[in-house]
Amino acid sequence: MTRSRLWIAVFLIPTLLLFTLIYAIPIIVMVATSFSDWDGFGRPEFIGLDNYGNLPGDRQFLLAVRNSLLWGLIAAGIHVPFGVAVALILNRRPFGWRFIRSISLLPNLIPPAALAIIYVFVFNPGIGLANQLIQAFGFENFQANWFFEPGTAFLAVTIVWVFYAGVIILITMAELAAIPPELRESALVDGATERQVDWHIHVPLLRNVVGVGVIIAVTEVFKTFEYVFLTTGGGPGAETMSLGLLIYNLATVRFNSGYANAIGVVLLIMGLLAFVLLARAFRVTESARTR
Amino acid sequence: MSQVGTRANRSTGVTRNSGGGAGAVAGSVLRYAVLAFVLLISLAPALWVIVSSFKTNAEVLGSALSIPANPSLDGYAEALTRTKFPLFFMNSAIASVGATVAAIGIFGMAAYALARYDFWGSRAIYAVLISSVFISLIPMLQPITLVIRTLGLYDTRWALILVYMVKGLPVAIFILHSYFKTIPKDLEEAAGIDGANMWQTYTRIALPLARPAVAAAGVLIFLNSWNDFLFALLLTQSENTRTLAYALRFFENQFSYDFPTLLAAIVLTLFPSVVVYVMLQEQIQKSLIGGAIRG
Amino acid sequence: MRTPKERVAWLLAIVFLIAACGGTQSGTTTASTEPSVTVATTAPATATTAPATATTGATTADPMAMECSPVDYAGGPVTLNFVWWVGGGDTASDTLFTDALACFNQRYEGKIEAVVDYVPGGEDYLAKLTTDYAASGQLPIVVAPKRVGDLAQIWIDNDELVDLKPYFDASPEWQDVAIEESTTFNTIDGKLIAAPDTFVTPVGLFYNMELLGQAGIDKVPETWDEWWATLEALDAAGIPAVSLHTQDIGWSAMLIFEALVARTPEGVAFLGEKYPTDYNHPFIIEASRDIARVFQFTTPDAVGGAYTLAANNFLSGVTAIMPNGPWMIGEFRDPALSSEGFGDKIASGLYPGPVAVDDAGIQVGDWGIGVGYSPEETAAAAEFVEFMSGPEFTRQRVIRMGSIAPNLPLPAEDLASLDPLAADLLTLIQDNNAPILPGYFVQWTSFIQNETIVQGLPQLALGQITPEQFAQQLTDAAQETP
Repeated sequence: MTRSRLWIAVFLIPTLLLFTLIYAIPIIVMVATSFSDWDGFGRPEFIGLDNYGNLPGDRQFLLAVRNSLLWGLIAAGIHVPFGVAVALILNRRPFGWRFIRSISLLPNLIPPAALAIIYVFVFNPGIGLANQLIQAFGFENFQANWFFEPGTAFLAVTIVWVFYAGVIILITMAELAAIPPELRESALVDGATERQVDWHIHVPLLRNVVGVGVIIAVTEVFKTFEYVFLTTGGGPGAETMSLGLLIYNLATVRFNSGYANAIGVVLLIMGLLAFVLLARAFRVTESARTR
Repeated sequence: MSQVGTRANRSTGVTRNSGGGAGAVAGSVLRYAVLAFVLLISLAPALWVIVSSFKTNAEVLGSALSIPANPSLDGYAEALTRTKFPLFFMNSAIASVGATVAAIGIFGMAAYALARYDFWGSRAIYAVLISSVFISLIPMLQPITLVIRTLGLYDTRWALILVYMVKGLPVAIFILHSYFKTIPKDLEEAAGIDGANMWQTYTRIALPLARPAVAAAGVLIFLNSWNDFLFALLLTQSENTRTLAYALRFFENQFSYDFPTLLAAIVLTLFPSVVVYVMLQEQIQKSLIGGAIRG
Repeated sequence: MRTPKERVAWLLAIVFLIAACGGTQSGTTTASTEPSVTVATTAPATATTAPATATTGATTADPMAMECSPVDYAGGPVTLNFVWWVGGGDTASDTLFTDALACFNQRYEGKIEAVVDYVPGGEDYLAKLTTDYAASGQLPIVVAPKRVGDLAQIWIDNDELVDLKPYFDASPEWQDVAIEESTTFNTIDGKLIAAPDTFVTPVGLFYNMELLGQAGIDKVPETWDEWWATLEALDAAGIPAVSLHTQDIGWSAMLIFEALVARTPEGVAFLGEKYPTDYNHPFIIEASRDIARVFQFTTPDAVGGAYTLAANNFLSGVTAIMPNGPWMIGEFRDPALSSEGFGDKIASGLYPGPVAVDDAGIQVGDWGIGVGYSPEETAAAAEFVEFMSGPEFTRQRVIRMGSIAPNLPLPAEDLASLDPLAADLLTLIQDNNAPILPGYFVQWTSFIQNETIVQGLPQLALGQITPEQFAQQLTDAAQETP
């Protein structure tokens, strides 16, 4: 018993050390200074719950929370299901599946900063691909400034990432490959269609990997920063503001680190809540193997 | 279990189902439409960048759909003569691969210990480790800079390896932990060597079984490290440690007037990653599928 | 401390100083038409190439060559290592810096070596210094307080900058070239916290006369009536008149905005205020209404566009008017960035009024020294700071980039090498006695520049908010910042 405890300690200690070194201090500092007036350099001045009290009246903050929740829903409801669907299609080995599998990860190899530059060009109202394509299809008078009109800004910022599900496709295909082919084959012999096999055999077995994918995607969009910063800057107004960008602006432009950290704490709590709910919903850590 | 060979079985399945009439045809049209869409959105930005990089500045500002009248390599010559691509690529590769291997090695052990053994505080430790994924970057910048400077690692590749590795902590713990949890304990015991200690069970049985999860976490950590520019900005200074993603940032500013050169620089930055990815992708896929031995 | 009235008086004083030392110049500029005068058309300074040395191959007769012969210096050897930034589209400044750096190292060879590592752009410079300072509590040995916005005030409050006064007082030639107002501004509690400015750079407008000609207009507009008529004429000819953008602090649009504010004396006085807290004034609302009108005469990508896009639209002959400073002239003369002979189609102009805008204004100086280094290192850093704000650097800045150095009269042959477009702007300023307005990018908080303008200007331009609401947004932002 003591020997196995010793082993557990050996397995855990390097991780805990690194965690303490890099993560624990920021978390503690962030939480502690969220109750203070602090420029990020000098001595924080304790002001109780004032920072939190200001949140409900802060329009930028409320919009950022709304956007984060919407992006979370889109990540869980469109981004991940899209990736899983593509993986299921590729799993049937249609024509060109290897090529498409490789290509789908290509956008993930492009640094977000570069991808944002590209999309600034794509959605450029004068010379951009998007408007010119729509005009080429006969809508000659079509004209939209995608990133800066209230009707399209949120959509445009979302399009930049929502269909780039290469990582989801990759991990789902890996999981599909781990399912014994006999399951599918015997079902087909018994008269099931491919669609029924996917729906009744594959999808249930994918529950764990889908859960993992949803959690990673949702936490990622909660922190969205680069895509917004480099395309709309949060505008028009604060229509596309993200929590990540708001924290960045508060800390680096306004030197209001106390308030920025209060929003950081909100982000942390939102993330943990989402994590617990999603992990429960997908029963992520339970053994799903029925074989 | 069916005695029929896999190939025969698959073909019978296909013929039977493709006889299903309009519904099946519609289904397969839909499937190919989805794949065509994936192809379009994945390739279009890259294609646009490549085509535009051969244009002149005026052509880039003219029409997105046009084809360059006199394809010009000036942008590439300009970008290549001014930069040290091989060095920057090596720096990126060393930092990203080093960080990925180290993260899987160290955090995999912790994930295993937490998944396999229910001891006092194990759930709390897991929760605390996972919470790190929700910290926004800003509060982390200052402590990380401090740690790296204190350790004397400022402006070295080690700084990037260490930080990229630790940035991968939540992802590695989360993916590997949830995968280890799904491996039935008896499978380990059945395959177990009598009197094997935890290290032996982990390295010989659990880790090989978890190859899909290792590959998934590895790909995520690698991509995050490869694409980072913020920590490269804060933790390195000289050209000798500059990474490709950070170098791209210089091009954005340097060639900001000169769109073809900027786009050529983007192409040149992406090119080595794509080549390496194409070369390694069979390996990646194989290691992912290696998990199929389970079950 | 400084009333707006005093400020305007001072600005006018500068103009008179220019008039005083520019007598020889107007003659030379009108005569000098040879396009062979190249200003900073060499490859832009980059972090990845060896800095171009100004001295190689240049004869002493070339005014562009810096004076780099070795100087007497008892100290050293010391290495000064710090970061600086390149890029942002201002290649002329980049080249001047790398040339000056090489020159400094030549002067102090074997005694002081300045080793500069580069970061890509001003935003990244700020991010790196902010994080480093928060983490270590120490500044690099050489810093650029002017380039870090509100962070400079925190450095000053925390006593992080070395007092340069002893070095400044010991050097008469440095004192001679410094602008007194700037010396006063940078002296805080008796300490000189940063090197005083030695020059101002006037920012006007560039007109593409070929495009104006297509619209039937043959002269640069001088009054607001002529301005609007020019925009209408260009519009009628199907030409987007002005290059504008709203990202990157909305620079091109806000320069015109300033000129619109300056239509009333109250507006001029307001622009002289440092960190004003109330923008709900008639002149701001009127200017907001009219800047939205200017946005009807631009390219569709102006709203939400970045500076480089606006610049590129002008360089590739899409738009006819570009609000910017003389550092852009190098790009007009570089066929790789514009087109062959592009520079010959361009004319300089003032903003209607007529007014120009000051690129810098009276603010914290360009160079400072961080505390906590050894006396030898600090003394060496002081040599560097003095060189970078001394007469030789200032002379180069004037003849290469059309800046105005009120305290450095230059011989005619030096000024003759100034690009005609830059010289024309100076002539216009002195002939019209035009005030040089302090820039909003100095007078207003970084919150307003980086957030309110970037988010609010697109809304104003697209008619999503009223001019009154825009003024209110500016006010709210001004009052939030401590």
